[in-house]
Amino acid sequence: MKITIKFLSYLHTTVGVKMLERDVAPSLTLDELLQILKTEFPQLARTIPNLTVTLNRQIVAPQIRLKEGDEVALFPPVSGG
Amino acid sequence: MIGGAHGKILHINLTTGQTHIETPSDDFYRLLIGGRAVVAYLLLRDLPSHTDPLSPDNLLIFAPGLMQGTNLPGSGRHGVGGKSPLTGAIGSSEVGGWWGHEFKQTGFDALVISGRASSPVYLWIKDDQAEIRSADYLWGLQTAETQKAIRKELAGARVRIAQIGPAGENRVLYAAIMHDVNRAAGRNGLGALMGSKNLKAVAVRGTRQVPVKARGKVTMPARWLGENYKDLMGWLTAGIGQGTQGALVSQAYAGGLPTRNWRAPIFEHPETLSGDRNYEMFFKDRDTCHACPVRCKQVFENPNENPDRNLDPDYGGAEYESMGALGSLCCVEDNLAVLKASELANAYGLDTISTGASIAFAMECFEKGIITTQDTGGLDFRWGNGEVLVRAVHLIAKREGFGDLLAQGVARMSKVLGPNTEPFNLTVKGQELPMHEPRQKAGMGLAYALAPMGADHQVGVHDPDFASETRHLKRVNSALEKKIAPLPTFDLSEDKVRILHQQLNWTHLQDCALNCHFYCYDYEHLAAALSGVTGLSYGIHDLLAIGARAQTLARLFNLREGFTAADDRIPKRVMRAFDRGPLAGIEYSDEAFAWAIRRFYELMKWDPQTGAPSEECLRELEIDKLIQMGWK
Repeated sequence: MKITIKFLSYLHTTVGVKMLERDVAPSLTLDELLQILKTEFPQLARTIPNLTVTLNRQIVAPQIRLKEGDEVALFPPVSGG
Repeated sequence: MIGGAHGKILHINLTTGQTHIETPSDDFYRLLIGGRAVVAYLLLRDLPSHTDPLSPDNLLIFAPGLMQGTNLPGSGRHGVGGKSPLTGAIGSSEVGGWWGHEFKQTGFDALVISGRASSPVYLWIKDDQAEIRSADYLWGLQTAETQKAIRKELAGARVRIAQIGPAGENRVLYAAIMHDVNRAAGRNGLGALMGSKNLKAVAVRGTRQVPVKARGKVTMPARWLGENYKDLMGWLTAGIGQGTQGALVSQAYAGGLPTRNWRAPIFEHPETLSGDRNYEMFFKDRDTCHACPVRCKQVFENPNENPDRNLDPDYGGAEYESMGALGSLCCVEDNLAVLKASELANAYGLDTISTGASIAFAMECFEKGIITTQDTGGLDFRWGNGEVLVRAVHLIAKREGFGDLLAQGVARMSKVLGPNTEPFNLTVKGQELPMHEPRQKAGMGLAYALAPMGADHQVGVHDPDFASETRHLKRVNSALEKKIAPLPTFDLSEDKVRILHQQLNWTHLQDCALNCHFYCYDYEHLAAALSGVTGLSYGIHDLLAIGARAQTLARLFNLREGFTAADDRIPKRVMRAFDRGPLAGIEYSDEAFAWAIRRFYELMKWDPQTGAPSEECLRELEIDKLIQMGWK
């Protein structure tokens, strides 16, 4: 199934892209997706514990299973301004 | 004489035209260092209680600190203060740019203006000399025109200018004092105070070196910053360096971008106002403040024959706060309209937060039929109307038509329009909320309630900074024996209040030291810098005591002016849960919030019921010494 992954704020400079489309296994959990991203982007490994992760613009439990067409967004803590 | 100071404060009475120079003691500088603490102390000492903020008796104070003029990175800021025309509480607004550094080099440590000139004037301060000049020909000009005219008159391109635009002249209650045209001391309506004195501008040029006692100690944090700021301040500097507006989309995704006057749980299309989009459409350059390598400021340009669609690069770009208040809060998705409204705020001299909030309030009144096109002069104040947004800014600054009501700010508008508008009066102590959502940031909600200036995000807690093992949490723990673990953003526990306590002391300190809040300095860096500049020895707890002193002095002023613990609250709307969106279900009970406020009072050694500072607090912060130095 296809999902979209967005790297918001300055995270795209760490990863090199602002958005990815990925074919992932059905029933993959959000947490499992983050593990895959850590492997694919080792530079993210250190920062992932500090990131906010949303699924379809909702903050959800990491055990939730992804569905076709889902949008996952990752971004650093939002402060300042 | 303590390092970092010239030992002179310049007082000017615009009624009489007389000046005098005060020579404060070393204790004055050691305890207050600059900015908000100096403003609060001088107001307590020299301003009679219950003075009308727009009367000639009010004081307008420009107060850099001991570190301005030293070239420490991030020190290109200064404080401006007085009794706020918007709130009646202490007015204290800080601003970056170049003016503070230049003023400090004139040989004065602060400037105190009283009285009212009989006709428009501006001040010209150059190397120990001050002169009052006619501003008749400047009155009514926008800020870029004024800057150009003064520089021409004084034949000096390097003259730095603090000034009001037409909004301040017309005493819009949230008028700003603009610096270098595009840096605003925006909050608390200090531009109206300046306008009430018939004072158009303060132009400065200086060559007096600020004495630094131990330059090597100041070099340490400067070198450390140069080596680390790109890593530690990535949100400002990474990639194309979008500055604060680069945070808008992630704020929206986290549910923290205020929308539809704080009523909607989500801003559906944040990409319309994103830093990426603004950059792609209008980017011209980046700009910076004195002694700052970060360059977080954006400069936008959009040549267009329609003046309301043209962007003038002289006015810079827009910050996150401006994009939120003028954009999502009013549901406007037309980024050019939002950027134009922000530019006009700079040109007229208006606070973008209060401007946007006042328009959003009017839009909600319009939606509910409380006002109609008969009240607005035919303008359609429906949500999202970018054309009306821009038109409203013109009207506010000129106080024309419906703009005269908008110019009074949300709290006064609510009183005029009736009690049924109170639920959407989103103010604290009469000042409109900045663009950080308390349901996303519980500590920020408490900070809004406690800020002596009214709701203010600069003296606050950005709770996501303390939700994981961040450098912010490490800094806080470095001053605590009992360490604090990461906390959820909506947490209101004892540990969150402990973070709040230290963080408010830290941010108030920063508004006295006048170093940029965005900088990644830790306690040890500021302690080294302040020790090096002054020749004294400041440790972590000495630093935090300066912040506590500034807060306590500001509180003493507010109590004197009639504010009470009942004013330390936030609007109910931002305490109640959304039924959907990223923040769905997050709410705060009145009891939990009141407990946290009382607990904060206790940590400050203020009375837990009244919030009045105790004798022990005054003694420990050496405020008793300041009282002995005399105040009214």
